Amino acid sequence: MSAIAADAGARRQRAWLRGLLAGPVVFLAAALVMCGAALWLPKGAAQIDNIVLPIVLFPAIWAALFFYAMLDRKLWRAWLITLLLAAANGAAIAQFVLAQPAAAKQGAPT
Amino acid sequence: MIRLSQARNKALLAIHGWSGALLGLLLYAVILTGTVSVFSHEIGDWSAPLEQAPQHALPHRIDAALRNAAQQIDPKYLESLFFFSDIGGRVRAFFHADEKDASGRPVDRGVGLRIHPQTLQVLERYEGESDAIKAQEQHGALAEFFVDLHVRLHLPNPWGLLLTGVLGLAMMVAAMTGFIVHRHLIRELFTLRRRRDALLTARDTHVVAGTWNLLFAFVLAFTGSFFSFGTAFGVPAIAMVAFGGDQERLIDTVVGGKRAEDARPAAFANLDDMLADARRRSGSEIGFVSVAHWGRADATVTMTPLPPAGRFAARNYSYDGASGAFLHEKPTLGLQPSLGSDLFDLMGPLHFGSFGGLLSKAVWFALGFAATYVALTGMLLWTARRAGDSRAWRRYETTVYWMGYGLPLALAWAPLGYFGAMALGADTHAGTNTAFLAAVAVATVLCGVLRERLALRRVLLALTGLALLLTPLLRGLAGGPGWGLAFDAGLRAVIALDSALLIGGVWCLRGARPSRTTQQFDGPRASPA
Amino acid sequence: MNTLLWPSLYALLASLAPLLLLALRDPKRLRAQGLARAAAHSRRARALLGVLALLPGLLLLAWRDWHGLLIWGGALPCLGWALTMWLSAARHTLR
Repeated sequence: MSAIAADAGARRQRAWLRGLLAGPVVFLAAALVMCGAALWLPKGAAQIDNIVLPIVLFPAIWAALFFYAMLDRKLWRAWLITLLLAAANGAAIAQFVLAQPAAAKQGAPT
Repeated sequence: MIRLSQARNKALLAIHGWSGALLGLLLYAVILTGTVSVFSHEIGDWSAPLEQAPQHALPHRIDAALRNAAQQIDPKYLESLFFFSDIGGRVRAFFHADEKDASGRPVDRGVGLRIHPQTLQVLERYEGESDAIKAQEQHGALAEFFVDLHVRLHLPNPWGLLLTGVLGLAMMVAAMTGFIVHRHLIRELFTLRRRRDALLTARDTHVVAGTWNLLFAFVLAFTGSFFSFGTAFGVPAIAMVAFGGDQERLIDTVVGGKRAEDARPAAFANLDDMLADARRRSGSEIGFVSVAHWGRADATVTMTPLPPAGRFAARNYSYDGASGAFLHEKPTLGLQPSLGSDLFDLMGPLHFGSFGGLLSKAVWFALGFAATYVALTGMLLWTARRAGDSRAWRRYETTVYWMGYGLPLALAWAPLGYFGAMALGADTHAGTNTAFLAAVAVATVLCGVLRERLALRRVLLALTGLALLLTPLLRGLAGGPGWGLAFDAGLRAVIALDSALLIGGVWCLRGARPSRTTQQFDGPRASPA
Repeated sequence: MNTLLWPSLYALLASLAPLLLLALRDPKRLRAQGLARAAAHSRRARALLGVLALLPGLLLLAWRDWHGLLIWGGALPCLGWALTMWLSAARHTLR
């Protein structure tokens, strides 16, 4: 009986963790991927693709992350990959932002 | 269609159902108002016509009117100007400066004009922030009401846009999960079982409508999310990251073509000549014009023609505002063709369905109606399965009826308020809002009084039908043209929308009659909620 | 109406005939409505009719008639849905 209750509790906890991941965490990750993509996507011939494409494709970025988070059998792996994506883009953003005052001092275009 | 394990299928079905259950009411409102908004232009032309048929293109001789206006306004508002053909063919012009309000929020403040397209007389003049100017305009109230309800549920920016953006994502999730979990998509394409269990009929009704509407639902959800999130979230976020928070710099970079500043005063060249040149180059009429720095040496005029036949967007033509000389032509975004600009150009036509005139709008209206039907039948199915479980679910079921049949009632009453206010010389915004809210109140009371769902549905449908039938009459009483006058003047929207309302009214009244089919559709029980 | 939109209407008409045939002899629909006596289409026939229904759209795609393709692609599901609703309300079959 206690094993059944413990199992139900564990499943509930997993469901909450899955919901937390697929909800706010995925949204934040998608936002970071969108903003980070402005820094690493090629600019294209008109020098604007890196800004326009992430904004236009944001719903697709979010949907891909959402369905991955919901369907990956291994919850820990879904968390890991989502957080890695968020962290990688977050790091790229942080590096760019921190480099701005230094670039401005040297007279380089931002 | 797609083979998944039972557990995965169950998970996806849960996502499908719960996303619909939690967000379905608001999503239904957004889809229904979006369906109505497909014809927002025509609704504007119908509710506030001028004496002649409206043109979508700008008049060929507009220079004198705008030049005269420019001489009479505060020079600080010459920083920016845009003008285009709007409701009833009136030319909407807005001379403005980009300012910040007390809280630091960027606002456009200036002078708004409404110019008659034939006489070029200034019909109306307003001064203030752009939102305040819109609130003062009387003739645009009805069309604007429907569009605003769709775009941001009448919530202040950015919250309304963020909410509709989230609803767009939810619709995408519902469409994709619906596609994945439905194992026999093609096999059951034509199957709607009406003769057996009512719950099975409800399920088939939802699935059939959803299957046929699947691709469109996805496209609409995707483009809708883009429009909502793009301005409310995407632009500010990327501006924060890559442009130090300067959204204006981001927009200038993306749009392209901004010239070096030169604030020396200079006479402004003839707009009519520039318009004629742009028409010649593009082979199309001009739909939208923006002017930066009127009366300065660095004045720039950008003309956007109406899309040529078969295309989704036109190239923009830029002119030196001081000399009138042609500078360059460019895509919508950037100075050269790009994937980003092409994708951006697609978003509007795919979402609004206005690329092919009335024919494409009619198709988009039908698809929107189908999507509304999918949303409503999905919620009815979800609650029909659970209404026996608990009081909370029965209450939710009543709420679904309230929204499902109450919102169309409220939307049908809104024009009554608009025309009523017009007839009384009152504020049409207030009239429209009051009538809408009054209908919501009536629907709420009826939900409380009529416990039997079918009776509730019939009464709400009947009231909707009556409102639709009364509207053309009230429009006439408020001073609108009769059909004879409208026909002579080429005011097609007046006759078309009146006819549509009459047909819609009769259809609603027919739907309000009791029938065996209705009983089957509305679920297994005809018992009180 | 813009004359460039006529191809979409022709395409729609061309798709409607195979769609109607598919619907009238759809095996699951006939079974569900107790009309199994009528000859349902074979799998091969259904596949062929499906291709014929989609062919006008492919032609619009090949001609790069994007407006036409969107109108056809939007109107055909509406017609298919309306057809399904209509057939479900009555006993329709080809004998």
